[in-house]
Amino acid sequence: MLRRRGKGATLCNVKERPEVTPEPEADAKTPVRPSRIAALSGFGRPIALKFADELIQVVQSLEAGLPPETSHGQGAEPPRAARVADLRPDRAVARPGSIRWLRGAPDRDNSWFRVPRAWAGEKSEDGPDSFPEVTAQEPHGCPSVPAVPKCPSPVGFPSAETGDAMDLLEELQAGHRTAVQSVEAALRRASSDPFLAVIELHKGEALDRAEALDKRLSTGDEPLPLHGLPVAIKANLCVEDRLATSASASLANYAAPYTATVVRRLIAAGAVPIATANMDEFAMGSSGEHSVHGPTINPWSPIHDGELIPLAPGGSSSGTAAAVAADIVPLALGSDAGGSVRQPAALCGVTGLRPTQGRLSRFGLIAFASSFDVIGPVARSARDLAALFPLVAGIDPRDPTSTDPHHEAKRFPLRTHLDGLVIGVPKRLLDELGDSLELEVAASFAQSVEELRAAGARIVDIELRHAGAALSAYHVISCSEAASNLARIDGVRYGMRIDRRGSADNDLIAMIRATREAGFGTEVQRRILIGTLALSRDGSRALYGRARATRAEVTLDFERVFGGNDLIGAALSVDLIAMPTSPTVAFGLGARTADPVEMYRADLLTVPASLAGLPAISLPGPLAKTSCAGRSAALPVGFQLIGSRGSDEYLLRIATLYQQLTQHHLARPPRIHPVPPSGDLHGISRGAEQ
Amino acid sequence: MSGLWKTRIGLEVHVRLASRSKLFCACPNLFETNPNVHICPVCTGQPGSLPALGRGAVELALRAAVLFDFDVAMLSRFDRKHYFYPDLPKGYQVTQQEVPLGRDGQLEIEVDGRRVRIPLSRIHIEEDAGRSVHSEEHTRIDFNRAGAPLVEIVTDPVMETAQEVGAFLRRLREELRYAGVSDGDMDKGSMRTDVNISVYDSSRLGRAEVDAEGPRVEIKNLNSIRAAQDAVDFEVARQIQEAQETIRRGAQLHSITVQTRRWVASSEGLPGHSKLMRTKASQLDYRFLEDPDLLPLALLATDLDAARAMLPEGPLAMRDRWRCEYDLSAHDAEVLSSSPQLAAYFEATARALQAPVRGESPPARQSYKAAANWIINDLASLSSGFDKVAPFQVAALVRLVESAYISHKSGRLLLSALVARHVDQPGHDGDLLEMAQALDLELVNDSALLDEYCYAAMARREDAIQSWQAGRLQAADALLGEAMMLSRGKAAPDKLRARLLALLEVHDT
Repeated sequence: MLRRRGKGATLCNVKERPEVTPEPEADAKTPVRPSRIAALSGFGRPIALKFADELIQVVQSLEAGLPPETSHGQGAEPPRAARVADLRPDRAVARPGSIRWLRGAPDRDNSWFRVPRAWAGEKSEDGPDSFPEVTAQEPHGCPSVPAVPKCPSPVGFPSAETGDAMDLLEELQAGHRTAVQSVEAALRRASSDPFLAVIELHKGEALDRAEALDKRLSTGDEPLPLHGLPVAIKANLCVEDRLATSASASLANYAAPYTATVVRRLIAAGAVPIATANMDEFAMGSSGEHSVHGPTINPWSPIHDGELIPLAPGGSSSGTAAAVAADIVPLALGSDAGGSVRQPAALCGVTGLRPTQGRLSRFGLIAFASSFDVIGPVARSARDLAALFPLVAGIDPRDPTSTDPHHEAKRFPLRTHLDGLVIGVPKRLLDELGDSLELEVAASFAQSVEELRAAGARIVDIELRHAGAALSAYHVISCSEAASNLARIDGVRYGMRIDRRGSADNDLIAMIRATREAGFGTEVQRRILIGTLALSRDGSRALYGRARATRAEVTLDFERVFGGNDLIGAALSVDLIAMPTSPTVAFGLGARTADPVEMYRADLLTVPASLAGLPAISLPGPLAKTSCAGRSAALPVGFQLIGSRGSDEYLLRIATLYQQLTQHHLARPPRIHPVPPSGDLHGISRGAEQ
Repeated sequence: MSGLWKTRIGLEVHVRLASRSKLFCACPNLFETNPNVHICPVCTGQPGSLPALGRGAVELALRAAVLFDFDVAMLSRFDRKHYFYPDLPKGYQVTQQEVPLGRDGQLEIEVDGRRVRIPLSRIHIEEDAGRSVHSEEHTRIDFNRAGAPLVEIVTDPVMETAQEVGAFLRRLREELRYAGVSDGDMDKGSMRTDVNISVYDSSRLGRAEVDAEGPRVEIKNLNSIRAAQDAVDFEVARQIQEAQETIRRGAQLHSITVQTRRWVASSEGLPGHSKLMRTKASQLDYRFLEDPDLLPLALLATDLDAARAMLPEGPLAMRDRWRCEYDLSAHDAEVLSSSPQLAAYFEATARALQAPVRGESPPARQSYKAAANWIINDLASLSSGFDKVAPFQVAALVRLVESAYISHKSGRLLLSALVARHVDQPGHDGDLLEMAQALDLELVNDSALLDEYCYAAMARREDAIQSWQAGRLQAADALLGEAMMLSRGKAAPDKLRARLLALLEVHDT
């Protein structure tokens, strides 16, 4: 196809495809050429210079973390494949799933997605010129990011609910409280959220939905299973007309044109999304600090002498976990790639589930690392999650990687007690962590294990041989996929665009580079570069293959453990695996931002389950007595239970039994006081959107 | 100086599949419409959207694979090919790099009456990008085409001339059209080709060495057979010249730089030429990644059987059959099979001829020829003739003319009348006869009446009779003309002549 060169320097004028750009041939001794990696990543020279040394270091450390290359296998074949008979029928237009936007025609009817008006146009005799240029969007700058987090005071933060979601649902379904009351109360709490757990309120729709639900109840219909339950939704889940920023400047103005499948199912079950939850940008981070909206603060942050010592809530589902911990909502949706639900749940003292890969549709989840990403719910108790799970799980034709809930889950018996349950603990893996595993965490975990033992569970020692290499493998694969997934953020169709109209070097490539340099935060840029490097021809091709091989080994390790082999001193198969969720308790805000490799270690214990796609739940264990700024403080510790593929319901059942025997999940941040549910909305009026 | 220059040409042909919806979403696979109408979050790469492979496109791709005898992979995979371009919505194209749908296929072509087997190295499924329209001021993008299903078919580098390239592309397009895989319209972009060309001096380099070196120059995105042939001719000459120059300067053999070029068609007096896009040093690094959003495609033996069962008779087999069964000339068979639609029309006409009609014998071989002639010579030149005249009407026409019920000339009139009348009602066989009567086209076959015309003519042209008697046989023509005139052109010509000659003989004695 011929591409003509435009004369005027306009924004998206495509120069003829880049002419010969001489670049030295790859030298075997210096395989990494940062400028080329940056260019392939859609970045310019400044980024290449900024990350040049670090990139080589990080890649070296990742390489050192992987076992030596044995065979150049690509890892195990994925467990499933698509059969022709199961593919999406070739049926154009027949279902609401495609759109016909014609000027003047009603564009909302039967459509689940609206074409941006600026895109569609009439075709005229003089050809395509009459349709609007895609480049005609108003460019806008990068929203200002608060440089220093402003520490709010959580003292006297109002809270209405003291129980969990099931307690609230009982009240709602019995009619003791209306959906509108419940949603109003949640909105009120969210509007005075001092932790920056939520970034946008869904006021109008939330109240409309609540009213409709109340009306339904008043006409004598059966209440929906989650009737009037206020929920928060992580900012990387699409809700139509609501911001889906993924906490990135690049999508700061991006309102989703459709609703994610899981959110739709949640709404259909009667839940009411009331707010968008903060997160780490594009789910990359373990502290909640990498957000364009500002960092979320852990509700457990201690206050000494009237001064708040801000702690990180963990990440990337920072707002999700904090919103539940701060009693803003009893239930919230997050997403988990390497531990993004479990780690913040552990650090915030709430219960978070990473479901089996594929059980929850990913359609509408803004992808970070597609082969790891799962949507994960967070609540105050495992029984809440158990109630929620069947309502949102199941095959979605829009996500071909979603799996049937029944095939795999059948073989797990319903348990009513923990007696005789076999729980494996990877002792050697924990021992090898050494100092990385904080003593308080180890102590709390040991106590949880004792509680399980006391309840009749058999604790056996297991070995996960390749779990030590899991972190490096996870980072190589997730960064590769992230670099690929985020290539679509180019300023052409949506989101931020930086263009220098009128400047001499303004061409397409310059626009894409400038947009991506300004739109992505440092951590996202770093991981895109790592991922590009891992996939590029520049000497590192082996990195990705080795990571895939390690992933297959880790998966096999788990299979052996669940299948009854490789147990040390015991010849039975393990029902579940227990280990701490995070090697540390909540750390100070900003304490780890300087050292990305140290930050990555937060995922040390969560990534093995991620690599194998297994379900895992993080439960609050006994609080850790720790010292914070010279004073003692009690901080939450989480431990995770990992089940075999498809055992989500079973896992939730065991977790519920554990929580029935213990009280750890009832612990609340010290300064969150219950207040009566009455009172007005503190000046929030319907319709006035935040 | 000169060498023994030889050329090796390989093609990568992109074929748009004629499925109803796009490859990964339910948007209609249509783009000749207003821009950005058939789009959705999936094909515009909205954050959070996921691809769901469509069955229709896979079935057509599979049909193409069995059509060209590929070894089909029972498990193939999808990979992401990364590069930035504004009409590529996701920043990557989904294709099948590592494990394609099929390997080792073949297609036989005919060049100068010689049959050549072209080995095809692979066929794979991939998605199309959007369409960029560049103007002086802006670049505009239409995403209707984004996500349209394609197969890419790659040949081994075995062709040597532009003629072979042309023959290959025509054969490929014909097969694809007959199998219903694609409309193959190159001007609509339904078929595009990249050409790989390597020129080498066979007096210095062996074929194996050339194979080992790989292709030197790739020319991208040629959108007509003519452009592909022109590009080959231009590029061969350009490479020979470049090689000769460098050798003259004492450089090593085979000094053509590996590069990608773009074809600029001739316009405004400028001849067509190829233009450099990038050289090896700056060749793109696509960073292929197995697509984590798509499951591998698993085929069953029954899928292959189904694809084979869907293959209709190909054009070559059809031509052979026509030549045997209907005694068509090679030329007629070629013309009638130039499109599947035309072939089906002729086939239907032939079947209508075979249908038993009361009181008539089965069709003679020349009836099929006559039908072919009516279709090629007359129907094709009438505007929308094929829509307005049904095959059975052509068959009826053939019978009417053959039985001398009407003249050939009247047959043409009848065809035009059919086209004109089509608006009102579709006719049936009787109608043709009725129309002929209504238009007064029937010929006079009655011997008595013909004799009267002859007598009258002979009465008027005594002179002609005398010349005939004097031995000038062509004088009969004047009499024949006179008789025909008297019949107002309605006498069946063959019979009239026979009667006239008979009467002249009688008159003579």
